[in-house]
Amino acid sequence: MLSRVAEHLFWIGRYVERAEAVARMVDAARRMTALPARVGWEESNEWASVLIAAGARETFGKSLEDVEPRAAIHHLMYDRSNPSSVSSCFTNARENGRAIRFALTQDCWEALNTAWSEMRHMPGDIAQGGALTNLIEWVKAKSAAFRGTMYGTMLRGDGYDFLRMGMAVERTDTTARLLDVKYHVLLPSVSDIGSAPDHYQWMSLLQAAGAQRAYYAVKHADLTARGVAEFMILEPRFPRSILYNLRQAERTVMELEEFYGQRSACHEAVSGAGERLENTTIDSIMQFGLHEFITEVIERNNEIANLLGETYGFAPAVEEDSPSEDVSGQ
Amino acid sequence: MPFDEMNHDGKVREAYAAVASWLAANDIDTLRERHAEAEAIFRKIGITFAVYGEGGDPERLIPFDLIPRVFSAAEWEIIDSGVKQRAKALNLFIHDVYNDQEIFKSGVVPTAIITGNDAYLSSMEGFSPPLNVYAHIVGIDLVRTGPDEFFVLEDNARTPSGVSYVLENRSTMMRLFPDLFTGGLVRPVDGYPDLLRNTLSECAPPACSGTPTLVVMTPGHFNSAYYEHSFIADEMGVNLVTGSDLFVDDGLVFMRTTTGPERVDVIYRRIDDAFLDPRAFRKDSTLGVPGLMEAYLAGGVTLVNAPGTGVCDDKAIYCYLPEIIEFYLGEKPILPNVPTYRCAEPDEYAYAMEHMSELVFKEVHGSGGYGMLIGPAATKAEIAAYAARVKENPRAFIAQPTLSLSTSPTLVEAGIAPRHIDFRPFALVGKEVRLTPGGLTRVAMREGSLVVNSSQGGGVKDTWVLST
Repeated sequence: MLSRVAEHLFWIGRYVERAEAVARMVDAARRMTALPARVGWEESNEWASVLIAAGARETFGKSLEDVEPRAAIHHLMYDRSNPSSVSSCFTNARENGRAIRFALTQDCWEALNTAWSEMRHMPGDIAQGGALTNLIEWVKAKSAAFRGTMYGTMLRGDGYDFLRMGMAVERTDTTARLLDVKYHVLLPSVSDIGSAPDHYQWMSLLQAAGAQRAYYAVKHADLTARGVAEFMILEPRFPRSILYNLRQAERTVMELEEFYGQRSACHEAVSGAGERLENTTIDSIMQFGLHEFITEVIERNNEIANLLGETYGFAPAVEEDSPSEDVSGQ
Repeated sequence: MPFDEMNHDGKVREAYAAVASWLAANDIDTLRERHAEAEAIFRKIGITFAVYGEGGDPERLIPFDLIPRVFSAAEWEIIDSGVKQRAKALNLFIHDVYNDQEIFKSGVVPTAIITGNDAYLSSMEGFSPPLNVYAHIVGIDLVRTGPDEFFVLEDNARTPSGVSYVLENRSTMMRLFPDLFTGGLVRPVDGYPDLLRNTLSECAPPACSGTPTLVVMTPGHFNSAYYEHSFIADEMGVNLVTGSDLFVDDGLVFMRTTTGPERVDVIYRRIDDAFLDPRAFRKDSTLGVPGLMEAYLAGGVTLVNAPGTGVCDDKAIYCYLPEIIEFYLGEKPILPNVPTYRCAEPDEYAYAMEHMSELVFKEVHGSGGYGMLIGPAATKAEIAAYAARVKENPRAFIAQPTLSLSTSPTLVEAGIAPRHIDFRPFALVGKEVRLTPGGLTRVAMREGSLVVNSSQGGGVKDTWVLST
């Protein structure tokens, strides 16, 4: 397979997942701003925190002091000047697909083409209230439609693996970013940690990840900050957890190795990252600092992506929006 | 009244019997529904041509007309032999131009038409490509004015496009109206990818041993014909590459793959000469491959079509094609040229300028229907403005009588009405010249319009060649 084709497939996987992740982050902020417990701390900054976590601080171009929800939603969902807006992600996924039109099945192509074309014909400013909920659901449905055609129609081979690799790498990244939203949302004072607002914010994150029921099913226990962080980082059965996706990336790398009969330069990095997580506990993560831990995960994940590209001859990495830069802010 | 391909002398012409009974069985509303279905299919598959930088939809559909254009077996025989003859002569001419130049020495064609030609590449002098084939894929544009009157309007020997529509139009028609094709009435066109693969393989370079590795090279997915590039590569089962996928090492060409460099033997490139190799041509080209031309001339790789084929297909050479055919093949042209006035010749220039309102003027180096003047349809002001351009540099123009192009029934807003059409068959030149029975019929969708180019709002039709 041409290296360029592999690279385009990898990025299709990333952009489709990123579109969904950005929509989920917007969903988290939407839920947080709707919390009844919010009364008394209206000065909170959910939208600023989502802009930071989605890596859109630079492109937003305005002060994050007093973010107008409408402006934030527009920038995250529609704005083409934000390379990670949902609209940009679907456009980029489709452009990557068009560049390798026939490396995709007809069904996969149609899923990308439809998402792009429907997004293009949407009015650019319907993202309030119920319309926003619908839009978020629509994004998730389009992303699911692509994954569905991919699982249902693509040959199991290197092309399929590069797509899945892009998805796993992106999910690791975006789950980390989603958790970081909580870090950036300032609570009125330190004493509010563990308070009702704090509790509801964690719940919002869980809901945005679509994991509320899964959480209870696995934990059989009440929702706690520690529990949510543990679930989203270390739960081996939850398909958006960081550990799950690092293991998924590792499996995919091994499949590629088998396919090509050649060891991959990212093998150590990817299995090392998974192993490190398996041998840690949520307590030691909390002790180390959740934000610091997340920053490290994102850096390691980038390293995996770069080594993958090196092994299979992707064009030298041009970091489109280096995530670690934004996350380490504040 | 122009000649109508279906209805002539108050009768349906024999070749159109099947089309006529099909039309009788489907009312306009059904046809419109099917037409909407066809467009939805094109849109879904992504059969679009890209128009960037003009605003509006960046990817447009070429209007597709459901009503097929039909050639009888006997008509096709004339076209087939005429196009093959022309493709052979064009290749012999190019070889001669870059080697012995006998045609100039004999005085049949003036040397001047080459010396001022931008498409002439001095780096090709003295070089003979595999099988002496330069123009492997040739598109010959034909028009018709009567039952037996065909004319060649233009030769396209650089990177003629449109063949994807030939295949997709047929596959769409077969999907929408399967019954039309039962019984083998219409000769299939889907052999084209095989013919193309064979043609390319036959032209493998001297450095190739074993089965040649073929690729299609595209300038990228912003190119207007990108869909076709990817379609052709996929149909042949070969890689679609961009310049950045290729590199030259020690006189050989390789592509970058996930398992390392892989040798490439034949490149069907859909990119203009000027952009092929920044070392040999335009230095600012980021689309090409540095060193490609050197590898080509050393026999390390075959480029299809060869660089420099453009010397044979501008409108100054076109005028001499009858002489060229006779010179190399000793035959009379089977398909005649449209009578042409060369503004470079004083007598012909004088005539053309006196009759501007009756003639079509074209730029010698122009293409795609741009920069034309259609005298009968032009205002006095337009004619005066164009006359000023011609006077400034007469050599750059030719003039032709406006032909009464044939029409074909076409589904338009008002119902079914005659619209002007032309035809582009594709010849493939390798060890032999091969032709798929069919080609691209372009139709001017506007009433009375003679401009069929897709860049100017022209549409396309499925083209049938009947088996008997």
